[in-house]
Amino acid sequence: MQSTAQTIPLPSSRRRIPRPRLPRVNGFFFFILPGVSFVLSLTLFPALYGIYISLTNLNLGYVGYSFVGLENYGRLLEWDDLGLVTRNTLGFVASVVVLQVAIGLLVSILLNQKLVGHQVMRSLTILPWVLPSVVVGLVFAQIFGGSRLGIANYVLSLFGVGQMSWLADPALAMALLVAVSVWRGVPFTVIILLGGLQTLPRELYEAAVIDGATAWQRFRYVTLPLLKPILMISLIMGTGGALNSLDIPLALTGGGPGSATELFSISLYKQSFFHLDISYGAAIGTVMLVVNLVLIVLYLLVLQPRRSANHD
Amino acid sequence: MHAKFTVAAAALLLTVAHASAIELKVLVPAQYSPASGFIPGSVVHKDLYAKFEAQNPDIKLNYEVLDTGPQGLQKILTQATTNSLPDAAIVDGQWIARLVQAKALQPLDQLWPASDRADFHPAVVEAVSIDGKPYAIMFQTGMRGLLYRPSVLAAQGEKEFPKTFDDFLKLASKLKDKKVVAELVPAKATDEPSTMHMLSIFWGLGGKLVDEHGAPVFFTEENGKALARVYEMYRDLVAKGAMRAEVTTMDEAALRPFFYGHEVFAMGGSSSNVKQIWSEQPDTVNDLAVAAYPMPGSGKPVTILGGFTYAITARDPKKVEAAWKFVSFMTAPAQMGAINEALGQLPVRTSVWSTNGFFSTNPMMVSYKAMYDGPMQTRPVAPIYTTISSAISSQLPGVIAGTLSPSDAVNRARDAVMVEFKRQQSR
Repeated sequence: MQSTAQTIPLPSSRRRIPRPRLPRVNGFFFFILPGVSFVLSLTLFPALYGIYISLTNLNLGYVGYSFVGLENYGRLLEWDDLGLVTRNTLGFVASVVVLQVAIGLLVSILLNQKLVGHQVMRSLTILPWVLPSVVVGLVFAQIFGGSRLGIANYVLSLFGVGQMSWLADPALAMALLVAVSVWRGVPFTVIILLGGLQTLPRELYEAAVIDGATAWQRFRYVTLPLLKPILMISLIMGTGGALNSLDIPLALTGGGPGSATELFSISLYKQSFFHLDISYGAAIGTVMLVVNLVLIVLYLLVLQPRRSANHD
Repeated sequence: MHAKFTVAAAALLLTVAHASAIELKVLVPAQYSPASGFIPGSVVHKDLYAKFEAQNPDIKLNYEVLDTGPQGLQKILTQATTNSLPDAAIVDGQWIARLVQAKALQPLDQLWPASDRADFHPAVVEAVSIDGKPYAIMFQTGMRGLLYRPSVLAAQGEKEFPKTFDDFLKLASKLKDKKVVAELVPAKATDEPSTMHMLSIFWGLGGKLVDEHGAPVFFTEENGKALARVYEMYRDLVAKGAMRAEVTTMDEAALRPFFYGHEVFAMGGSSSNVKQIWSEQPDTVNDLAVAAYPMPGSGKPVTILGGFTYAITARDPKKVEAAWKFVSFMTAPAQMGAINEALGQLPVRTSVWSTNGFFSTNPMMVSYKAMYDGPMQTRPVAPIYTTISSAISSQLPGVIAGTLSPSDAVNRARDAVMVEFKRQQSR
């Protein structure tokens, strides 16, 4: 009888034992995991949850809540002060962003010059940014208090000027709100733009000087085009900052007198935390989110460097 | 040896007793707790807490600070929805309806003896009752009125504060010539004290905010006329230079620099701030008085009653029993008097007014007692009240600026309130 059994060679110690194959995972996945987790859990989830809440009737004055569809958005459209608050917000954001970027650009160009004491000036310029914005709001409220004990009125009295009701006049209150917000925001713009200016190649300026370009022409045709991406960042951050700004407006004017300086951010705060109407506040927040996104897209479209049609 | 065993046994018993003590979680605003930033307030609460724990070794107090603004109400409402309520709390009287609606408070009708309730002004008990059941015990009140310097009044040749609105405008005219503003009363939108100052006059004119079912009626016929009249008075005061338009940006605290700087003759203020005013401006200690609001015609203002209250939020019967011990201790005449005197807030027990030396002899407090004994009314214990308050104060800036007529202001307030009222009813 012939044996059919075959001898199976034993694996030598040098041969690899076959292992089950693990799915191949790119290494970069582990590196981006913390960042992705952070964004998903602390940014995207709250934003989406806020949108969900805006579709309910959650009010902390009541037990339980239910889905109500777009009811809160309907309430928002029927709101008597919608036009006023929209005008206030648009005016405030436009003024703050334009002034902040314009002044910030001017200051950063000045600070980029090798003038005497420019290092000290750079440090001093950043000071308003170091102060907590609530403190800034409260301090300026103290300065522009309408009593003769208010600091601004006291200073005016030294020059024989009568008392002014700074924050009781709607136009003046809005102007002060813009001015204080710009004062607080300019240093941030300066930091960004100064960083950008210092990266611009010197050769281009030297070539422009050789070509006989004036200072204005160097700024217009060299500095500005090269600074566009940085300006875009400043505009996006400035717009977001102004649109979502609550601390200074709340501490300085509280939306008053009446609703003369009420912004969407203040309305959101009042609805959510004064009236405890969380879902309505979430609806306002969602609208603000959409406006933010729209503005960012607009900036990207307008300021993104256009690619040449001819790639040759 | 025997003594050692006794000591050890006693120590063991104490440890066991302490371990088995009921921990009473109490939610309190900082100013009514040992954490008060006002030293006399802190001292009196520390003493009383220690005394209570000594008298009740089976109860251990564990207090947590609560915001007195809307965030405080929000916190308790959130705790009610998540079943994490404390055992007792100090709540603003105007929150009671909302908290009862959210089933956060326990009724006290079975705990609070009728004999003790009789020591309180009837309006005080009414202020904390819903459907005849009390849900809290008020321990202080703040009365709104016009604070002024009698010396300034005397300098104008006046013997007493004007009682009618017309007489007040005449005085304002004389003061205006001397570059002194007659009056500042807070008129900031959505600010509760703004409403409270308006309500004294509104009620004095016979106005009603809600009906017996808690439905808003402040805009109907006579009520609407009364509210429009109040708006008119504010508008006229500013138009005639008797009040500055700036009041639309001011809360009570913001008025004080004007008063301290002698820019204004009278300011709307709360009795609760009198001690602070004395401390900040020592010349007012012997030169400060309070007057009721001058009224149109022969009307009399109604003093608004409101204040903080002790309430029980526990659901477990043992905790309810312990919480009641604490609440009844803190609101007993001796303790209430001590707290009121330390903080300079008005008592709501008749016995405290008569037995406490400060309240029975201080001229300023005697003036408040006269107001306390006169017509007094509480803000309605209805869930819609906070919306009404916000809506009627929100119209003041428009009326004062002249961009809104008084009757339109009433209509706008009505529209804002009725939308919310319908929503509340649908819940």
